[in-house]
Amino acid sequence: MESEDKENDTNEEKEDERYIIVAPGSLLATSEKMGEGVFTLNGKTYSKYLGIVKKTDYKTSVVPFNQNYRAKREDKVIGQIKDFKHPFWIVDIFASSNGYLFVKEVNARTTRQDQLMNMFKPGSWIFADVCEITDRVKLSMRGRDSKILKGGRIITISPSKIPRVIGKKGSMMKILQDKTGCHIKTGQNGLIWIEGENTDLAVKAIQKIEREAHIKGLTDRIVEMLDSEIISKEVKENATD
Amino acid sequence: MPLIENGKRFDGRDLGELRPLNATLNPVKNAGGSAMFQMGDTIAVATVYGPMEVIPAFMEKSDRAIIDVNYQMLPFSTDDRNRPGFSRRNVEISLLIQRVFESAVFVEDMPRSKILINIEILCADASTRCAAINAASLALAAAGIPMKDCVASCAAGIVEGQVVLDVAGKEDTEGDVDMPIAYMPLTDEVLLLQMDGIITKEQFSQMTSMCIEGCKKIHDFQKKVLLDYKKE
Repeated sequence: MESEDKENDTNEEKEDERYIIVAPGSLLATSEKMGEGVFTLNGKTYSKYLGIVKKTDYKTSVVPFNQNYRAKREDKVIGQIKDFKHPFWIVDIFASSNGYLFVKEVNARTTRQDQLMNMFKPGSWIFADVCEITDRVKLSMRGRDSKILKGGRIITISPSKIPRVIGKKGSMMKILQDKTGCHIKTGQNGLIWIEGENTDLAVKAIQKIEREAHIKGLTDRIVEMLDSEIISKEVKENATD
Repeated sequence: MPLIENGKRFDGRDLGELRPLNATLNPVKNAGGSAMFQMGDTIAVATVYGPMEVIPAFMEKSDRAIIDVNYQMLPFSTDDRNRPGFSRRNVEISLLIQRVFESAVFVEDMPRSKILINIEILCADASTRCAAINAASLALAAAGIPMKDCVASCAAGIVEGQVVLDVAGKEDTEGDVDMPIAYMPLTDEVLLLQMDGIITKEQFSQMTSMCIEGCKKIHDFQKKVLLDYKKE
């Protein structure tokens, strides 16, 4: 999923000038076209969303500006355990439906239910993969980076801005982690978990990314901002010494 | 004082003229999407949340989303204090707005979920349900809910024997007939039609066509607001 998002990202930057904004019910084509976010009526194609048109030779799609997170397969999400109902935990993944984490999908040393219940208490946060979508969203903790999130803090941003926080091939993420010294995990559902000493700075940087995601030269500005903040902090510390 | 003089109404409008329109997209940051819609002195703010999980679970539909509408007039919206909370009128208008949007939104795209629309009337000066529908359709578009088209709504009435568009103020209280219509231009469907008073068949067809013309103007305005939003 992440790699796909990155590809989309590069496309977006290339075609920045040629965006066409459409509203629901805008006429896109006078013939029936395939694509996402469009519908056909009386042999014509119209938009379903307020968003941007993406046209290829065989497809016409509309990408909405702003939408509630909808789980996709192989997404990595951050969620909060709500309840246990054998054989699964119900996980709030901040989407239109709950996530379901089955006991067999948990990669733990123990299989004893009392110990597992202690590990996955209601209210604890987990970082999990979406492994299957049937009538309900099934989560898995068998992945390599899946874990129970202890400590740290969680912030919420718009899910459409998550690819910007990750950056091309994880470049933005790398900058954030290197400069702030924090450990950061991003869920595709718009939740970000930050652990470390300098969490305030990381939160500030991520909020700046969310605000200014559409303006060019984002990476440079973030680096500049982080550097100046770190320097000013050092100066302050030296002054108090 | 007569309400209509020399073809002009008491507030200086022509018979088939709308009140000045104004709209803001996303005034409420916490919501998934929100909109303020103003028709003259009537102001409606709509906030849309979701699609989200259905609570209580027995309300959920396995093949489509349900739409939940809460319409309410705030205590200070009218001249006399309006008692907030549950009332017969609020429930009725919520239900009819819900039915309007069930035929405009692609509810089949989001099974087992709920879309919550909260509408507050900040200031009431006739045709609040029309302003509510206009605001809610803008808010739904801003929230990224798939829909066929923006629903536009306005009212016509009969004042001193003459058909007028978008009744306001005194015309509403002293006029004879009030008829709100919600209309979707793309499919050419009338989604809401209510009427009180006694009129002739000719007057009815005249009012309907006048209303639909007004709705088309409002729809153009809504489209303009949506398309201008990201340009800045």
